[in-house]
Amino acid sequence: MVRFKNRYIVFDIIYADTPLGLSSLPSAHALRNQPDIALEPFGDTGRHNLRTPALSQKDLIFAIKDSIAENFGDYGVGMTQRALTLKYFSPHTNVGILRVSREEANMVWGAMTFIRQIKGNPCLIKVIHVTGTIKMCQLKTIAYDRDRILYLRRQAQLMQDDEVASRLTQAIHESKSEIDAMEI
Amino acid sequence: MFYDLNIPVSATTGSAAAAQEQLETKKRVELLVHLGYHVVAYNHEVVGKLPPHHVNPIQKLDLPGVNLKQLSRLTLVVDDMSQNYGLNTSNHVVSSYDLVAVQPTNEKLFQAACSTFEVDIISLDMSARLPFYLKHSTVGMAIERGIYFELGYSAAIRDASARRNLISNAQSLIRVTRGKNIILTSQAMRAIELRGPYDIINLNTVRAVASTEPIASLAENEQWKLGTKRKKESQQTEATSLPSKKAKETKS
Repeated sequence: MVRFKNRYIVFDIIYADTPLGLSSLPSAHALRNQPDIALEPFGDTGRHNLRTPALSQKDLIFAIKDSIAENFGDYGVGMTQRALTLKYFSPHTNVGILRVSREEANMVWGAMTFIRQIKGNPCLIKVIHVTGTIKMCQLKTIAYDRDRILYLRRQAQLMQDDEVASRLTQAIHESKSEIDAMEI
Repeated sequence: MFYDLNIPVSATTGSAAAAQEQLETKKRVELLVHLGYHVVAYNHEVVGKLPPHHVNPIQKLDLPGVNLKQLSRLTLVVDDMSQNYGLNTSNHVVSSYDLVAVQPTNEKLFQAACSTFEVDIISLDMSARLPFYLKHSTVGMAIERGIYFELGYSAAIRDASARRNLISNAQSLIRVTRGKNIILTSQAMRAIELRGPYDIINLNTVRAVASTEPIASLAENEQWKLGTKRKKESQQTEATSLPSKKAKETKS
């Protein structure tokens, strides 16, 4: 009997107001203070990346499953649902790890590409890495998570938002231990 | 090195709509950089013959410290066989753009584009049913002349029927070109319609298309084009390595 093989997809959800780290361009926050410019069409979604972790793991997995159903039909859902599990998702950085069966990894990835909104918030999903073992996946996620949190903290400090900044400092440690503790 | 050679911008300057668009362009560019693209081409579309006093309206963004090459691209939508569109390198207006594309709307013009027009890219509206069959003999002429075919993905992200058409058109295009000379572009009007380069490459494997070719189409082909075909700017393009091997590892 051959072992059942999985793939682990590390992904990042990018919202309209996700700060992307190009200092020469006005960030979403700066734009928000200019009332004469409408934030259409990427849009003011009413959530704030630094403050409102709006997305639960359940919502996210449903969004992915819906997209599989939309793009690949019942067959796609049936083929993927046995292994499909969200192993980790950080609401601070919107980084997550999805487990899929190896054969259907490309299909699930494709379905994720076609996601346009989750719970009414326009967004896109960028796959950062695909691995065969959870160890490598953890390392990638920790590094990426840390970079994002450090960036967000710098933003918060610049905006002199001490409460958010200290919460994010804590989040670095939390996210590392959470990812490390993820069961294989 | 990844390229997105179609970021549509419209012509008008000075109006409120233009300021809005400028903002949207900034957002798109910001996201492109974040997603890992290195080259972007702003696309200006003109329907019909170019007016004689046409001036290249594309303004490149000032991006200090950002590793992003910005190009300008002209797309001419041609629909009249009897017109002379002046698509040659001696035309100053045309050669003020880094890239020139043509979008034929019927089979005759498609043939003309493949066989005689001096362009870099042939663009077809892949989100609707193609009005004619793509023939290997016609397409082959274009490939021999080093012309590329464009597949824009953003319409497919917008709605389901465009997605179906794109998949079907992409398959017929890849069948007749045997996967050669295809470039993938976003054609994204809005930032939300952009996707990461590897995400797009993955879509091609989902469509059961030979996976190496689209990788090359995103990366290597464009470099070749810029390297050999066009003018001053192109000469500054250095050789870049093709990340296809890494992409394959990531996927498989």
